[in-house]
Amino acid sequence: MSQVDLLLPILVVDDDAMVRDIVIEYLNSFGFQNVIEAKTSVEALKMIQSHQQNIGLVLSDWDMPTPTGLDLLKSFKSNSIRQGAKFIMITSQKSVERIKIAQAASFGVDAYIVKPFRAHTLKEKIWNVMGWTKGDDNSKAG
Amino acid sequence: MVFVTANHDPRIESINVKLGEDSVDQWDYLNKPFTKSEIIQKSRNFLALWNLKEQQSIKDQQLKELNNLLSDHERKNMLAAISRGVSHEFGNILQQIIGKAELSVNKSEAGMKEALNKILDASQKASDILQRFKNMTENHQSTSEKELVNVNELIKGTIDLMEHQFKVHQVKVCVIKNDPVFVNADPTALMQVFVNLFINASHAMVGAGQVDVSLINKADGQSLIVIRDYGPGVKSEEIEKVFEPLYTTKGEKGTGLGLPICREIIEIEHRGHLTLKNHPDKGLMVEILLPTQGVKDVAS
Ligand SMILES: Nc1ncnc2c1ncn2[C@@H]1O[C@H](COP(=O)(O)OP(=O)(O)OP(=O)(O)O)[C@@H](O)[C@H]1O
Ligand SMILES: [Mg+2]
Repeated sequence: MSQVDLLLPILVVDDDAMVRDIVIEYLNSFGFQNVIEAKTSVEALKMIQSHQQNIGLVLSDWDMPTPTGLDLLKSFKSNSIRQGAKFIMITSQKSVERIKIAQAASFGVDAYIVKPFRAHTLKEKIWNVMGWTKGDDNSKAG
Repeated sequence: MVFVTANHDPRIESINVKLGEDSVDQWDYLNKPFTKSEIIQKSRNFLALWNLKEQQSIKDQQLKELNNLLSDHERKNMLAAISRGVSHEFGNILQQIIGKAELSVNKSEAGMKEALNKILDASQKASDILQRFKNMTENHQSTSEKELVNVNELIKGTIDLMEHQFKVHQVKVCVIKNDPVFVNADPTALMQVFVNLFINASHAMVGAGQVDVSLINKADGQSLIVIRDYGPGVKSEEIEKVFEPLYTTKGEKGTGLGLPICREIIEIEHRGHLTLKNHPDKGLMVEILLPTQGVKDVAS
């Protein structure tokens, strides 16, 4: 278990601007100060592949035009510069997306979260995949 | 039902006239006076007959169901495709509602007001989508009811409903001709045709693509609906083949039922024509001809 790192660079990918904004606001309310956004999956793929871009965690929507969330995950997990970085996928509905979840699992996704979700769920997932202990922080959101 | 009558010399014919041909198997008669055993016998016969009829109707029902199975299967496919899109949209909308509500709790009054307005907008959108979805899934039983349908609205509704699929397949839909078109049709079945054709068009194009829709009110009393894509089209020697049930080039992913069902709906259920033509430049054109519903048709 490591210390909570509020400077962790987090990339948020969702082509729905409203949802993206809400995820970012959630992250800010948890105290994260280094949130990056990609408005399209094309933009996200460029960032993932760029050596200049520091990324510790990706929160990505799944259902996007190519490159899809799965393409992003594959690229992310196969890139040596992203070693140790985490990837959480965001899907719409568990039952119909079961195949996608299985696919994602085989490509090393660290967690998935089903829309709609509450702040505390998002926070729990992040803390979990980062291996942070829950008592480590004192922010009240969630 | 056993008929007890005091009518003087009631001939079967006269009762038949009274009750109508359709209920011929629902009554029988005894001449008065009658005995108890006669009544029982009549009742027994009648019950047996009734049971036979019932069995027949169950068999008919099963046959009908078998016939419907094909189209039901296809409908389910289509519904699954659409409901995936709808559930994605719903996920996003509910996320907005929950997120806005949760995040505004600690905000100023102005901030809360803004959030509430966003929540209202999102809720409205959700209920619109739900309404559209309901319209298409309800009354989809085989008892197809025909009514006056504005094809312009139906096409628009279908495009709205498929917004997500089009986005995922990077398909732009252009309504390039939009004459007001009215036909006498079962709107759910017609929508099913459009959905199938739109899905086929999206599948036919790799990468970004476009679908052109034209609604044309022809002078000869026919309405023409053309759905054109920019894919590879269909080889001329295969143009009839693609209408064969179960013919698919999509492997596991296709059922090969899309086009045969479209043809059945248009040509058998609606007495129209559905034909495929390759566009001289690029892509497939699906042409649907339906009789225009005008005042003069109402009488017939
Ligand atoms: N717009 C199109 N452009 C090119 N080929 C097409 C087009 N539409 C249909 N086809 C061809 O016709 C075949 C049969 O189509 P049909 O809709 O009947 O079944 P399918 O699309 O393969 O399966 P399903 O409809 O269950 O997904 C397709 O597999 C494809 O090869
Ligand atoms: Mg098809």
